[in-house]
Amino acid sequence: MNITLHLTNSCNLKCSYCFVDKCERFMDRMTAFKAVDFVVRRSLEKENFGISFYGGEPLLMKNLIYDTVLYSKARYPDRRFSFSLTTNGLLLDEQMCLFAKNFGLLIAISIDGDKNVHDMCRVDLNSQGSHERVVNAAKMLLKYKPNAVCMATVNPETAPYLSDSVKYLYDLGFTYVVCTINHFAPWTDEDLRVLKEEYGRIADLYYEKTIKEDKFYFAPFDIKISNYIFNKSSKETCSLGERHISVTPEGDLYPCLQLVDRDEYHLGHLDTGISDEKRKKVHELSKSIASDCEGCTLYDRCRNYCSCANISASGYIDKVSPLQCEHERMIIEISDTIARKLYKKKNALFIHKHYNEMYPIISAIEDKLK
Amino acid sequence: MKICKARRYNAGYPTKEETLIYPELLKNMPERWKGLLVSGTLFSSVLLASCDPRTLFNRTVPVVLAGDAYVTLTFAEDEGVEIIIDEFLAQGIEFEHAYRVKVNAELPVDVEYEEEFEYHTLKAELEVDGMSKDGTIYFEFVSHHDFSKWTDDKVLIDDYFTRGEFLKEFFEDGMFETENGEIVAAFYNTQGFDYGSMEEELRQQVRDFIKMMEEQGIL
Repeated sequence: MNITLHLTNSCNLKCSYCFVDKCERFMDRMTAFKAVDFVVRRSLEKENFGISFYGGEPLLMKNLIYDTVLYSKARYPDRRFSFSLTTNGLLLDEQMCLFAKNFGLLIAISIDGDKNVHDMCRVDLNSQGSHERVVNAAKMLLKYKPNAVCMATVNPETAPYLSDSVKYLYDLGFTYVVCTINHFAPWTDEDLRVLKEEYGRIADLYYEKTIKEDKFYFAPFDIKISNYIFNKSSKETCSLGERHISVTPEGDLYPCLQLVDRDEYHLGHLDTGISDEKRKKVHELSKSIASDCEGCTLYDRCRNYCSCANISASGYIDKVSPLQCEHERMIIEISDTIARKLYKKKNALFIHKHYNEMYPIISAIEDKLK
Repeated sequence: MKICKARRYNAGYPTKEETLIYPELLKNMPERWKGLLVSGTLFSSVLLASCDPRTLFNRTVPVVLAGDAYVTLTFAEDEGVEIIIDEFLAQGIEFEHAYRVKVNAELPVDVEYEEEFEYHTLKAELEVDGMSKDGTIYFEFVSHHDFSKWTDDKVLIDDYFTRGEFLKEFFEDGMFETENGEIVAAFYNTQGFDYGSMEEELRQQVRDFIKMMEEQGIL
């Protein structure tokens, strides 16, 4: 069971592609603690919990993060929690990094690329670029958490620099890079052609790093390859209303990040509980196959299940957008080409990374030994 | 930009279940791990166990080890082209990549449907993949994508992708001429599980083609 706590809608940046309605809303301690109790109550005895801190900028609420993590561990010592947050890095400090290291809090930091690319969209409230500050924060984070994740958002205007951006992030020290396209943006066919070329260059980088046995995780490539190898339908990862709940600063419950504050998806409140009828209805809706996709052989490998992406791009929870369809086909084709080449070469790192179920454990121990 | 259904797709590498027929798969350890092996440590035991074929079997539910459990692999376009150019070179003939070189050709297609032969001709515009240094001979590595462009006949397209034997018959002569009399060698995408033998089959196609050209006095 996963729960996302929307700690605040406020932010110290005003990124051009942000979809959050910036207003002064802050979660209090009681609401956060109730949310933890709620998720434990609704879970099976041995189930793990994922708790994500979300914003706005979650580090505007550092104390609440500390309190919630400590409360969870103290109140439920026999249960297993994993904590995560994504930050713009501006308020990241040594104390938070140390806390993250000691309590297993996964911190992902948002950097779109070098100064030119990053500052195109990620500016502060005075419209000043935030690159220098986030890079300083990233270096500090990597000192404490060498496997920290970097999240990059791609827009039509930053797409031509994508491969350079990924190289830049790798050189900065990030071996885990997660790249997401902005589904709200007005992508054109030409933009997608450029994006495809850039993905092709990243594929070359991925290939080169793997051959050299340098660690490099790049999403979406690794996700597509791994899901295919383990025969995992993408749908299994979507838990809309079933295994995931988003909690607003006021304690209202919604099935998904981007459905928050939409009346039609309101599932209940921490004080009054969740409406199972509504939850099931939303979940059923998310499972229905969009007629446009029926018969597509890539159906199970596609992110068509993702309600967030569908809502953002097509306006409908169960309908993919042409952008999503083109992008998914592009990503699957490129990911498979890399995988095919590396499999053909019987590359040991690739084979163990994707076929050896013990790889994550070995990889983690390997990092510790270094 | 549009929503487009993929009708046929082959990832070209096996799933975890399919690799169960190859327990040796995990045998080779990444070089970076070898330096971490210290006799008698727990980590070394974990490492070695993870590479042991028996562990692979024990960890996962067994599947049928024959028939449909096999996956069919094919070469990506660029892989196939590289192999062909390399084999031409090995035989002393220099070929290079051809970019945006288009030729028009008529492809004779003899297809056997339920013991009856049907004869078709496909009019095809080819953007050839390679050409000889002197520009007299072209070659085309026929991918699924190429084939789909030449015909709407779904049976033919399906056959192209599902029946390797069909391909051998289809390109039996390994060549065709363009409207302008240029020679185009056609090499089909081999299929199988083992890339090594698939590559050898593709190289053999190149050697057969060269032999035929020599017999006809063209080379």
